[in-house]
Amino acid sequence: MQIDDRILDAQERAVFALRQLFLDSGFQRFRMNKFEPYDLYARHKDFLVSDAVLTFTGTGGRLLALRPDVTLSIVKSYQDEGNLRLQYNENVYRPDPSGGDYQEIMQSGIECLGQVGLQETCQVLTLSAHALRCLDNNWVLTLGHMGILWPVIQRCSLNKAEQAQLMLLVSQKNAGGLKAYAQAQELPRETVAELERLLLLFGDPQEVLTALAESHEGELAYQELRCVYESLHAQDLGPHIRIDFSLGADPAYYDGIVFKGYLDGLAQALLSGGRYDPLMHRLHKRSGGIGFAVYLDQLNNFKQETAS
Amino acid sequence: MINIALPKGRLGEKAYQLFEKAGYGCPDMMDGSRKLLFENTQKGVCYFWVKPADAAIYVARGAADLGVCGKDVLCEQGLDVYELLDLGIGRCRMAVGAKKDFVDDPNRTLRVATKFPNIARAYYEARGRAIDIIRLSGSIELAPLLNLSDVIVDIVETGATLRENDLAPREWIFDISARLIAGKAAFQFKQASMLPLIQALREGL
Repeated sequence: MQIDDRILDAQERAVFALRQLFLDSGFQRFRMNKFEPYDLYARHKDFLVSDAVLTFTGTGGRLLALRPDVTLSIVKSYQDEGNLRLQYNENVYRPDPSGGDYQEIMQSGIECLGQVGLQETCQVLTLSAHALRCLDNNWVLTLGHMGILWPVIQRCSLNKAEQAQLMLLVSQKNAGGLKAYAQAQELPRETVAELERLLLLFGDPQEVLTALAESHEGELAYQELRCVYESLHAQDLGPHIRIDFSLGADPAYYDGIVFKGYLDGLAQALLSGGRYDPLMHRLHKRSGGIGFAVYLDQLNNFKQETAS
Repeated sequence: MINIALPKGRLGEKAYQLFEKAGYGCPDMMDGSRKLLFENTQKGVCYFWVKPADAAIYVARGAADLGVCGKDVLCEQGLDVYELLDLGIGRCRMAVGAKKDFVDDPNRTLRVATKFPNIARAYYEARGRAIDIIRLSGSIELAPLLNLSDVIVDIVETGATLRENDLAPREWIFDISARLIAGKAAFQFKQASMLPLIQALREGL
């Protein structure tokens, strides 16, 4: 039976376009259980967008949860069995951030597990750019790097809550708040100046990388960021790329490149991803991991015609 | 075009003057017109007045690219936006107030009347104090006088209203002033036009 694709809505069309794109790049489909033991999420609450998880009692009396996240399930099932390239298209269940009840959110994404080197990182970043491009012509992919931001915060010898507060101020680009907080906590002046510099260093990747070269050229994180940008630039994707160090993530789970993708006309990032080796280690895996998810629910409010 | 949400009232008018001083004025903004949108096409800005509590929502939802919003509203709503500048206007403080002779009994749940339930909850949670939040929309100072609450969590500007009603501030929670906020997605696409505006505003402070 032939299906006329005009009957598909924006979200459904995106699901199929992304599935084809990921498959063409060698990412195999991964199907998972809708339910997970609640314990998995209880132990890794900080990895989730929200603490709230929809739970119920299974037939055996075990507390189960409707999946709020896909990456945790994939990493849990991975047995350090070499390089895996997986794609998924699943619903996740999260509380409505505006205070309403739980929402069902359609996610498509990929995970690359195993030996993750520069080549794999570049491939995943290229794929994230292509994913955005297949949804609309007017897109931006913003890159950050935990290996550049986090060591500066670590130098402040603060406790976990205080570090989280600093990360929040950085993620808000709140230079005034950062100064006031640094003063109240008597943080070292040089470290605060470096944080402020990182917070205000954003925009055109070439300019950012040049400004950063002076202090970070020898560092692996800088080299990785530069190579990723150059690889994207070589594929004519450069004009859509930004670098922004206010793009942070929880260091307990992410330690390398982090990135977000935006479409012009959507208020929030549509794509979010990063390198999550610490998450792998927390789930007792020796390998590395990098991946991203596309939040397809947002496309229902996206008025423009999709480019593809 | 950069869409800018300004809070209606005195704070918004002061904020607009900062934009005007930065070279981004819009001639018919202050003439009492009933227009809803005010454009300066030459400068690429479009202003609109919104309820003060709504400015951050317009920005977070992408209807406005920039906005001016009190720190009290930002903290209460906890929306995911950039907080780019402290505009230094509308200065006041978030405080706990109570009747002058009020003595807190830690054995009892503290009844807190407020317009800011999230701020009050976070403040007392950090102190491990059990509270009962009584959410009101205005005239918060009335609550302790009529024994509706033990304390209030509210904005204190000069403290005159508290004093006149035999109340006193007991604890300061944080300082408040108006902030320039930006939508995270809008900032990715409109950086080139936003940055000169932000820089001009910063220089005018």
